[in-house]
Order: sequence, then structure tokens, then C-alpha cells
Amino acid sequence: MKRMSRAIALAAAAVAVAAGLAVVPVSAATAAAPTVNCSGDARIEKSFENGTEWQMCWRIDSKHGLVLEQVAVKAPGEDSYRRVLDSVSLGQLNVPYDTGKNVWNDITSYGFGNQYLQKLSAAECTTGTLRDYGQAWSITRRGETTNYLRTIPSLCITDTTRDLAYRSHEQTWGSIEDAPLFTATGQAFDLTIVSKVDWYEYATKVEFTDEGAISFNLGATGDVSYEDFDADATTGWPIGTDAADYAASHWHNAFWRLDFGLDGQALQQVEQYDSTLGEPGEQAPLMHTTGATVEHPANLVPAADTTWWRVVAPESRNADNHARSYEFVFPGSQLYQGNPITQPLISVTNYADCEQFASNNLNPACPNLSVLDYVANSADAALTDPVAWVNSGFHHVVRDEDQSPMQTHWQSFSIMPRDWTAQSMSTPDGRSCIDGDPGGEIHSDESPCEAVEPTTPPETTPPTETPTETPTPTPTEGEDAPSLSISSTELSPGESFELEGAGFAADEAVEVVLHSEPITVGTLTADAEGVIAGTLELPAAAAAGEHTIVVTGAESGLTAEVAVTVASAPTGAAAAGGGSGAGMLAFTGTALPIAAASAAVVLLAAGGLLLLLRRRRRSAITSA
Amino acid sequence: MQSPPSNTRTRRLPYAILGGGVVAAAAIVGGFMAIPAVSGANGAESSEARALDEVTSKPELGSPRDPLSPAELSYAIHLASTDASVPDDVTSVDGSAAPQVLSVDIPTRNVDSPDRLVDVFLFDYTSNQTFLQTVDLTAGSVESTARQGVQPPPSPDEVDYAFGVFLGDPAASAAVRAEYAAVAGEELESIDQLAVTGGAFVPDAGTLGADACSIDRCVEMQFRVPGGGYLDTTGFVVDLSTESVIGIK
Ligand SMILES: [Cu+2]
Repeated sequence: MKRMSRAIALAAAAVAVAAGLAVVPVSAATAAAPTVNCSGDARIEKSFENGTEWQMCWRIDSKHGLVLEQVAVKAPGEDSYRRVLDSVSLGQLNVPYDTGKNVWNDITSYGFGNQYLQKLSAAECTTGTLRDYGQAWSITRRGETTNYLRTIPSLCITDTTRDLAYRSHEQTWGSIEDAPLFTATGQAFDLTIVSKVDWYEYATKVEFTDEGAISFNLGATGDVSYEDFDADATTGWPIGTDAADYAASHWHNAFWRLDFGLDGQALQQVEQYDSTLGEPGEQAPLMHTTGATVEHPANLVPAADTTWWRVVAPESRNADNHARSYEFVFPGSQLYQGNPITQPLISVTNYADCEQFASNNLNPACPNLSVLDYVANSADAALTDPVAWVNSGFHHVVRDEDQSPMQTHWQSFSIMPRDWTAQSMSTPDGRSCIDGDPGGEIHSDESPCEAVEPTTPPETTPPTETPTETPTPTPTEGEDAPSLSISSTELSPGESFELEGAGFAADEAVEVVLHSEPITVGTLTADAEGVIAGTLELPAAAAAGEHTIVVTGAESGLTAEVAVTVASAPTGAAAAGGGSGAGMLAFTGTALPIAAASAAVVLLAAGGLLLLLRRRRRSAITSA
Repeated sequence: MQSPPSNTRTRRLPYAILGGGVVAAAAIVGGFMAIPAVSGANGAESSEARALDEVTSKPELGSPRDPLSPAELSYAIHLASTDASVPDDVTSVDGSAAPQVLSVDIPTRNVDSPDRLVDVFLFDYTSNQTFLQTVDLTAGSVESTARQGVQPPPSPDEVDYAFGVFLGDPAASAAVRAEYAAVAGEELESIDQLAVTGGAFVPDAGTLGADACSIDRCVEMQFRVPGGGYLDTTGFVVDLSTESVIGIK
């Protein structure tokens, strides 16, 4: 009820004034279109129904596997793409066994491309599109080198959808059926390759959504290591009969290398945010979330599970003048403490040509170095061109169900836009006017919608102010007759209906009467604009036949009417709702104890419905 | 797939096993016949492995981040291998006078460069050096960096050679040959009898017996019996620089 009374207050204060409308996010200082240096099948371009578009180049590196470069997104309404990532790929896959007997570095010792890249069949890309990539190898014997090349279908591009991308129902419980519902099935696509390194087969999958998010996923399948059945009860798990064949527990420490290129900006920074409980508040303690710039290359470890990071381009601003950024989202990452390289969740470094792998670096210009070395060797430099080495770790305690083949287990994280656009990339027209505190009411049935700013209530206006400073529209003036509309012109006795009208005097009571034998239906109260709206119930005593509903303003004397046809009395209460078996729907209006009290219904209507029902405005729509 | 395909090797037909059913000729998925594993959905198809013509003059170049065409690949290897940075006494894995080609890729750096750049990794078994030859196909130039003790993944050619070294050492391979004979009922005589993978072996503090591998080029291997499990290969690595088998712990 608390929320209801607040809504009533908002409705009472709401007056239509010319509001600046942001129809689409307007980009500040549009940069030149980012470079995209690939063609044909090497380029991926995707557009979604909400207007979001992605563009990138893909290839399969002999060691990194899937490499995506020049990754750019175009938000709905923007003129051109904006770069998100210069490059992203796996930077290492470190697999230590809990028995201490084996450690694998699959990227730098084997690689995810060339002979380890798997040919995908149509049967494992059933809803997607396959693209080819080459496997190249050279054979040297007796001083003669022969080079070979073949192409195999190896990239699966799949379109995906997700229901409930968002949902917002402008519903009050008194009127379920007719309220606007904003919901959407989100769209995305993912890119997947499979690499087989011995018994393990790894799926590298990167997904791009229509809301600008990117998720990075490593799926492990194949078979439990044949070499590692030598564990005991603490270093493994028995997967043979009884207490036999203890398969060694192990880690899949996947390092992703994200080279950020936010909006092509020369200056990019990394910020860490932490939340701490503060002083007592009225109902709960205050919590303060504060950010700090990570000034230098660093190894980042979460201070608490509320710690988060983002990469921000301070000079790239969205239409709200907020700096564009991408934020890391971790659904849970396990950090292997047995190796200092895998202790940080993220290591951030400045881009450097030779730093390509998270450990065992293969570039002879900085050989065998790791992320820890990259950080240590540049610890005094300002961090302005960040590469994030993200440790997406998973401790695999083997199950009986891992045989055979092993059920694919996924380890994932994502980056999502924070303030890339002033509103969500999937904002529907009916909500496009909401940018900040919408104040009073939203005309969400306009396309695009209109946000109506509340005027300052008279009692709070300082008396010294001249009236012209806060002009109050006088909608009733110059209006010949009020308007009136009804949700249905065919009603049954006892059935609820909605009335909507305009052109009455501000704040006056409006009586609703059924004619020709006058039966009072209820009373509505006009708002400051002279608008009425509410849900009423047709009196059970109404006789079948043609009737007229007449509304009369108590102060102005203005009247309006609408014709209705009353059907025969219903056979039962359920019939009124028209949905006897549909849960809440069946109880609409009729089954509630307060439904008989018109005043209560009017209160509810004023509180809820006034917010969503359209009101006529005289002022032209002005757009920003 | 591990061993480079050639006509002397057993050619296995592609097959897929889906949901428990072996499908050799065609996959039955959701009630309709799909073309077998070789073919993709939208016309994506494996090509035959082809030996590339030698290319010694600049071919038509693709966009900087496009995959390499056969001619670009061949030309990049030519420029990388014949560059003045490659020592005169260079040797490959079999000791013959040529650099060992490890990998050819588009560089994972300088993504916005307008030049057609290619990273060719070479190994020189004489000096035990890894060469990163960054070839600029646009300019026809090579930028070279070389170092001992950097071990990129072994090429299929090197793994093939390492298997020969291993099998050629009767003492070192005795246990694996016996295990194979017990499992398969025949003598292990050729790499074609196994699926072999090989990784770069880099010794760490916990490994005993392989100190030489900090400079030498060493390969650790896994042998899978077709249709079966793996043989125990944990006790050795092959030092390709000395063509010897090293026992490790
Ligand atoms: Cu695992």
C-alpha cells in the first residue's frame, strides 16, 4: 500500500509539460568508423532485430586457436561502429593435476589450431553455419621442404535467442489484462571451434548479444585423462567400481587475453570498485561503493565477492555524458593457488607487441615470460592501453558421469557494456523516453514514448515566485466538451470496465451514472489537467439492453457520455472475468472484497492506472 | 590427424559417432540424413591436402587479417627461410640443410596494420634457436628475432620424427612396445598403428632427468591405440636435438 500511495501522489502532481525526448541515444562526438582489415568469409557481420550490429574478423591461430580481431559494435541509432576489442583469444590453458604429477600448458606446448583443430560436421552445428579454415604443415627431409595446406569446416556460427531479455508490465493487480507489457526475446550469436589435445577436447565459444555483451566460454569434453588414475581419496575421486580407479582432480586454468580498444580511444583506464558497509541508515546500514583507478599494470585479486572492475574510455562519452566502459562479469572463477601465475583473477598490462601468452611466452623478444613478469617489468608505467589477462579457472573433481565421453563442462565470464549507450541497446520505443528519473508519468503507448515531468505542486512553490516561472497548463480552457471513452461497450452486470476522459476542471470530482434509469456507478476524480481515468464496475442491478453512461463534473457541470450495451446477467461470478481457470485473471474486480466499494476502486485506479493511461497533450512533441 | 597425411599412410574414412550410434557414411540426425562428417552445413567442405607450389615472387595479397592463400603461405615460408637472418649452417630435424618450419600465422599483434604481415616460426637444429620471422609480404621484407630456449609446439613433422627416434631405441621403447603388443596383439612397428600427439617439453623444477631440454628441442608424446586407450608414455621425452630418448621422472 505504501507504493500505491506514492503512485497516487505522483499522479496527482503529474502535469503535461513539454518534455525533451531522447528518441534514440544520440552519440557524442562520433568517431571515425573503426578499421576492419578482413574480407569475405574472414569477416563476420551480424545485425539484430533491435538494431544492434556486430562486426569483427576471425581466424584460427596455430597456438591461440580462435582469434577475434577488430571487434566493434554499433548500437541502435548510432551512425557507425565503435571498437570494443582490438583482439581477443586464449592466452594459455594451464592444467595442473592435484596429484602433483602432471602439468599441461595446452596452448604453448600443443596449440588449438592446425593439427589440433577439429573438423566440425554438420551434425554438430545443426542450427548454425560452418566456415572453413586452413590447416598448414611443412615436412622437411633431405633438405627439401614441402608445404601442405587443407581447409576444414571448423567454425560454427550459431544464432541464439533468450526469452525474458527484459520484462516490464505496467500492471496494477486490479487490471491485469489491458496494461502494456514490454518484454522481448533477446538475440545473440556465438562462434565455436573445437580443438582436440589428446584425451581432452576443448570448445572455444564466444557469444555476442544484442545488448552489447560478450561472453567467453571454454568447454571441456573428450575423456578423463588415461594417465591420471593414480589419485587417492583426497587428490581424486573413484569413478570405477567401489573404491577403485581414483581419477585425479585437476584444474583447467584458462587465460583469455583481451586487448581493449574502447571506441578507438588512446586513453583507456582500468577501475576497481569495492563496496563497504557504512553507518546505520533508517532501515538498513548504508553501503558505499567507491571506485579507484588502477594506475599501473597490476595483478588484480577481488577484495570481496562484491569487487568488480571495468575498462573505461574517459574521453568517450555517451549521450548522458557518461564515459563508455565495459565491465567484467564473473559467474564464479576458481583461482588455483598452487602457481603464482593463477592467483590473480585478472592481470592488467599495457599492450606490448611481444606479450602474447600468459605464461611460457613464445615470442623470442620476451621469451618464456608470464603475466607476472609483464606486470613486474612495467610496474611504474601508467596503465593507459590495457590488455586484460583473465584467469577463468575451474577445479575439476571428476564424477562418474564424466565417462564417457565426458559431459562438456563450461567455464565462462563475460564483459558487458556499462554506459556505452545512455539506455539499453534493446530499449523498446515505449520506454525510450526514460533516461534518468522519469518524474511523473510515462506515455508508453506513444511511439516513441513521452515522459511527462511533474510540475511543482502549488503548495511547495514559494509565494514570491511569479506565476509565469512555473506555467501551469490550463487544459480545460477553450475546450468545448470533455471527451470520454470506455474499455468495452458491451458489458455484463457486475463486470469491470475502464473509463478514460479529459477536459474536466482540475481536481474536480466526476460522477459516473448509468442511464436511462439513473444508477450511480461511482465517482472519479479529475487530476490537475482535468483528466479522469479509472476502473469501475457495472452495477449488478443493471438491466439488459441499451444504456448510456453519463459523467458529470461536480464543479464544472461539464458532461460527457458513452453508449453501452448491457448483456443478460451472468451465470456466475467467474464469467465476469472471462477466464475462470486463469488464476488471478478470474478474480479481476469481482472476487475482491473491496470491489463493491466504488471509492476503493477509484483510489486504486487513481494510483495505478493514471500512470499508464494516455493523456491528451496540447503541446507539440519536441525532440532533443 | 597427428601425422601428416600422405599416400603411404593408412587412410581412414571420416566417421562420426553421434549419440551412441556409429555413423560411417551419413549421420542420421533428427530423422533426416545429413552428409557425413566431412561436409558442413552451408557448403563448407574439407579440401584435399595439397602440396603447395613453391612461390618465390610476390603473389596477389589478401587483406591484412584474411587467412593466407596457398600462394601467400608458400611465399611467406620462402621469404622467411631464405632471409639473411637464417644461419648458413641451418639444419632441420633430420639434420639436412634447411630450417625446420614450425608454424605460419597472421601475427596476433598490430591488428590495425595495413601491411600483410605473417609470423613464420622456424627452428634451427644446429644452433637450437627458435626464429620468429615476421614477414612483410607487402614489402617483401623479414624482421627476425631468434633465441635459444624458446620452444613452440612441435610440428607434425617433428612429432613424426620423434616417434622414429623413440621406436629406434630398443631399450627405451621396450615397455611401450610390450604394452602395445599386449593390447593390440601385434608388434608396434610404425606410427600408423597409433594416434600420436606431441607437445613441446619444457623442463620445470619438478622434473628430473631432462635438464638438456632447457636448450635442446624436446617432445613429450601421447600414444593412443585406435579404438582403445592410451599407452603409458609418461616416463620419457625425445630430445630431437640429440636424437635420443631421455627418461624423466
Ligand atoms: Cu577436467
